[in-house]
Amino acid sequence: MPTLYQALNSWGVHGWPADVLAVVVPCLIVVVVVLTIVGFSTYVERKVAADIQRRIGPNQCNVGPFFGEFARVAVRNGASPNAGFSGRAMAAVCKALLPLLNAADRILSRLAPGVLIFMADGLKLILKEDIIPDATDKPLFRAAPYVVLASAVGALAVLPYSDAWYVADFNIGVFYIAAITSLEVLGILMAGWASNNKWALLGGMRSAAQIVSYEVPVGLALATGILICGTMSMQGMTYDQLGLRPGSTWYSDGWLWQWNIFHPAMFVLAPVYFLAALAECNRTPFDIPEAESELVSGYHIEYSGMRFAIFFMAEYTMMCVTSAIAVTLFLGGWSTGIGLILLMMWIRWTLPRFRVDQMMTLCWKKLIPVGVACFLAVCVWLIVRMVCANRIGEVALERTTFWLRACFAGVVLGWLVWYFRRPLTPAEQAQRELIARPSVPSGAPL
Amino acid sequence: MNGPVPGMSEAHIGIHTEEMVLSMGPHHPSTHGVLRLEVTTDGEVVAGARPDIGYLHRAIEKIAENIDYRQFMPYTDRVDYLCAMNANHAYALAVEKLAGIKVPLRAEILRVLVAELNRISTHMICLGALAMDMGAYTPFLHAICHRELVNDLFEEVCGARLTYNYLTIGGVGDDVLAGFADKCEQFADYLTPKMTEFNELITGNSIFQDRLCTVGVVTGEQAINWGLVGPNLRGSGVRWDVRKNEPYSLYDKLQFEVPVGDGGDPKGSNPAGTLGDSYDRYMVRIKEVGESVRIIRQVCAMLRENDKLPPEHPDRQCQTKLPPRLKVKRGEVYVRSENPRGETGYYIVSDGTEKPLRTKIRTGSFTAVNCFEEVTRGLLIADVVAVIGSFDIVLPEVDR
Repeated sequence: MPTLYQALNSWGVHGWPADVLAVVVPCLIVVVVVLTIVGFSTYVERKVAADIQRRIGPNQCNVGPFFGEFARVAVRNGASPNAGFSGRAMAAVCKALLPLLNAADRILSRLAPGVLIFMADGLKLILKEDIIPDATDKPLFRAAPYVVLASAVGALAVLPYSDAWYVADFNIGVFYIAAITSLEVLGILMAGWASNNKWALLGGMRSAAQIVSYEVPVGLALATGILICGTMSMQGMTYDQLGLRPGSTWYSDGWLWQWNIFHPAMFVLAPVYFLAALAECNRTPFDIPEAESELVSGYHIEYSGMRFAIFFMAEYTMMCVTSAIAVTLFLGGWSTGIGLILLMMWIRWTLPRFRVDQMMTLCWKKLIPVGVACFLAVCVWLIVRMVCANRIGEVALERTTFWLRACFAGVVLGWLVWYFRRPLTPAEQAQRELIARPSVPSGAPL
Repeated sequence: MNGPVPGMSEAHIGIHTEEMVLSMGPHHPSTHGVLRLEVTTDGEVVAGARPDIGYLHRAIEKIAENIDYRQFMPYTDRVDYLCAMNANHAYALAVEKLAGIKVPLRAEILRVLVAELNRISTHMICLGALAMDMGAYTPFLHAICHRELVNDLFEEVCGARLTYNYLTIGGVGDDVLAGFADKCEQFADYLTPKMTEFNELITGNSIFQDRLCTVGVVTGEQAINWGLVGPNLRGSGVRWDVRKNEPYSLYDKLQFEVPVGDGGDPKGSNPAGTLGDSYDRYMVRIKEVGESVRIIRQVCAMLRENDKLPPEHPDRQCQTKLPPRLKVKRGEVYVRSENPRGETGYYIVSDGTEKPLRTKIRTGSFTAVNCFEEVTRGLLIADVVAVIGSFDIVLPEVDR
């Protein structure tokens, strides 16, 4: 598979234009595609929320009403006698497009009613006044949303979208992701400080504490993944889980049990990483920096219009990024398209929020010790593996680890099935049916 | 987390620190209306939260002195708009006691029925809003869904969905349509499994329990000293319910329990907490919904029995015959009744004219706001929200 640079050369583009194009085009494609996905995921979030909350959710903003209205207005304007050339040209284009729009409307309003709500939201937010309060630190206030967004978008560069589609495949890809996503906290702190608002300041401080703390379990999970895969490149990790490495055999060739999650240490680390990822995205139950009911809306309380929207775009981009990392690290990379984003949404509309000290306790007293234990266990395992490889040979070792992994995967899947089908204990039953039984007489009479 | 870290004095750090005054409200999403709390914080730790009230003061007590007894009934709706039926009931009881009016049986049945329905609907708001304050949005919408059904019933009864003005002095405004008892029982049948679902969704959630258990503890003695009433008092383990201890209306004929907080009791619903914490107050309300369902079933049976009486039977009437200009003899009265937010008392002084000389309303939310400063000291900012939510204050009741 040639790189874009090589392809440009073969098409006769050489020198600095090829350099520029080879850098700019992939970046643009990735940013545009991912931000569209981000916009779409806000629609999905609304639909998921509506379903959980017994509501309908957005269902009016379809292709017909949204684009059709523009097209119809253009056709009407073009038909008027004072329409100039451009007006008539626009009308002609729109007239040609109308059947297409109608067809798209008929299909999409069935499949995904209200799908264009994110475009309407975007339009509204762009048109809204961008209020910058007087007492703010204006340069920082203006810059903060872009810093947050840049850190999230920057991580898109090294994500492996497929074996051929990626912007860059660094040999330090994982390290780069860890570095650039932690820049987010800088932007949030800037926003919190520059807003000159006490709620924003509290939100910024909470966020700094939270993201810096949760970088540690994320780092431990990434480091363990690096040890197991033997590479820091995101593509390399995927290849490793697909069994596409020298000397691979039939039983190590891209099967489910080659996913890192079926490595015992990574199986423990997967929930650790997922929780930490939720915290890094400021998602419920870790939406402590935003905490609508406590800090009103935390660090972006003073923001309005497009700057406010950029914080949201950054949040959803971070969700995409962390989910992509989780899939690369644990679930076999681009070979599977498992949507962890849906899980994040489900959690958001189900769970309450942690308190700031509980959030810290969870990180430092639970996630980090578990992460360190897994990391050390993998270190020991690698030494044992090396010794065994010397004794019994690489092929025999591969076969043994295959059986071990397959057994582990079976046990895990069996346990999951048992866990979700088990009968409730009497205590759980009592908790749920609290209202049905008469209340327990206790407590002192007056 | 609480208090200064040992060995980390200002001299050690070399930085001068001071407390920050945070103005929480009057337009804050979790102060349940226009309450303003002047929160003094040391970082996230609250040194004190001084309530600043009066943003919703409408001089309702003064208005009462200028209009006659019947005209004041719609104003009682606005004293506590989330349980207007109960507020109507409290006022009607006071005037009837002062004027010596006897209420017919059917009116009493309907009064208890709507009062208990309203108790469920306002507890739904409280439980859902507390969950929302804790960051869970979904339980609130589920609770509102259940409340809508109560509103539908009330719409059928009196045409209004929020400020009902249904009870009158000497009875109720109008009789219910045939089949109302069936509809109420249908609602009771609907609500029981839905509350199980609600418990699965939020009550048993360990994050939710961690957020509320041992937060905002009020001991039984403190609760009595601070004048807390209703679920806030019972959450502290004090078994006091006006419906049980000084029965009015039909409550002495009805079977129901008075749930109290059981924090720390290993067999109770709140084994991880402390007696009188926010979770106990939450649980008392959850259980009270169940008790109200029990009462509604009994009252529906009584209503069916009453339906069998001939239409001209005195027990079948909804309203006592009263003179068009209601004059109350000279005297004063204090009557209390059990509202969802605790004991509501009406103190009425009459000088023998059509208008009262003085009307004083004693409400549960007002005393609950009083103790915020004590209860929130040393908690985190997030806990202040939990405390406000668990005391279930309603601002029009505080300011009046």
